[in-house]
Amino acid sequence: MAKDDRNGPPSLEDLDARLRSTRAEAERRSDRREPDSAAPPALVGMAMRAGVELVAGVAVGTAVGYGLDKWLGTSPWLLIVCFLLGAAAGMLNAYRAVSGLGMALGYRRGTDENASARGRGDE
Amino acid sequence: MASPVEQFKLKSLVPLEVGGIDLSYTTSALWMTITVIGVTAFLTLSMRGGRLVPGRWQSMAEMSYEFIANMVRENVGSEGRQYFPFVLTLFLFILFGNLMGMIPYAYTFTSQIIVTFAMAFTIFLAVTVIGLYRHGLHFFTLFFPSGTPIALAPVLIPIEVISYFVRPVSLSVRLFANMMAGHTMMKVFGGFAVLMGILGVAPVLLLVALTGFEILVAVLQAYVFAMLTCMYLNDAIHLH
Repeated sequence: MAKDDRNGPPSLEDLDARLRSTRAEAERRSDRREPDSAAPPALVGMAMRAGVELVAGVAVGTAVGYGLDKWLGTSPWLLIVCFLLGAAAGMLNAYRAVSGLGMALGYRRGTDENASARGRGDE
Repeated sequence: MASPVEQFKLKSLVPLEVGGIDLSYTTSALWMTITVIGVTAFLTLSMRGGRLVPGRWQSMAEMSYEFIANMVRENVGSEGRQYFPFVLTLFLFILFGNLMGMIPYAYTFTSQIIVTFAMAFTIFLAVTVIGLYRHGLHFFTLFFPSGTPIALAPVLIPIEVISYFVRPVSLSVRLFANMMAGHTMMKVFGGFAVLMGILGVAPVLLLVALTGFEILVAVLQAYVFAMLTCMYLNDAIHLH
């Protein structure tokens, strides 16, 4: 700092470099923060989510099956298959909502024991 | 006594028809306009002073800003910063719409499935486009994560695809159902209070508790909507 005083104001390049490094540092620090600080108000919301998730899965599955049946003329086979798949998807989504995996598709966090224990900091 | 669901009936204020499509300006549209004006007034008027030590209104505006900013940063990361204006707009629009619906004689536009579905479907499309734009065809690995046995593919892929398409439905149904059920219930208890005469004190007491609960639900659903938008954005950006 004393040097700066002697040589007049610091150069713009110098300021720019310092600004950039500070910004990168702040970004890294904010990314590392755990996302669960908002947990308490979320709990009630998550509880309400599971039910909607179950129903929506079945409804969408059935609608997709009905639509495909109409289109392909395979009534009622695709309706039955898609109804079951929709029910499975609904249960999967409800499970994800409750187990705190968010709406994430895929199983990476679920299958990797360590990753799920560490929470979401592994991205 | 009016039917409990009569409050959801749309009245057209300015009839308008373009090419056989009814584009009337309805009560729902009126309250959306009021909400947009309300949000804009809330943010601009309260920040007009711009003091270092905020007053009541300014700190309310700053709190809502920081609340969403933190939500986006924690759930999406620093790459999500560019989507912050969208999430904040969505949150304030739903929050104000829900809360203004609590004013007697006001119309709760979030109790209409088409309004919530339009918002949820916009998010769904945006998230899909963002995912495809950022990752190209690699985006489709979302439906079949690496490390899954190939024998499971015929079952897993349809389930994952359906559970992806469930998103806009569950997102919109959650908000719409919560708002509609709450308002219907309040109306039913209000009807009881009228019918029961002197004994109507009991439903009125219940109604007081219910009003508090409804305000909680109004805020909570706006929060959940914004939160899930962040989670979907996170999925599209980071592709687990």
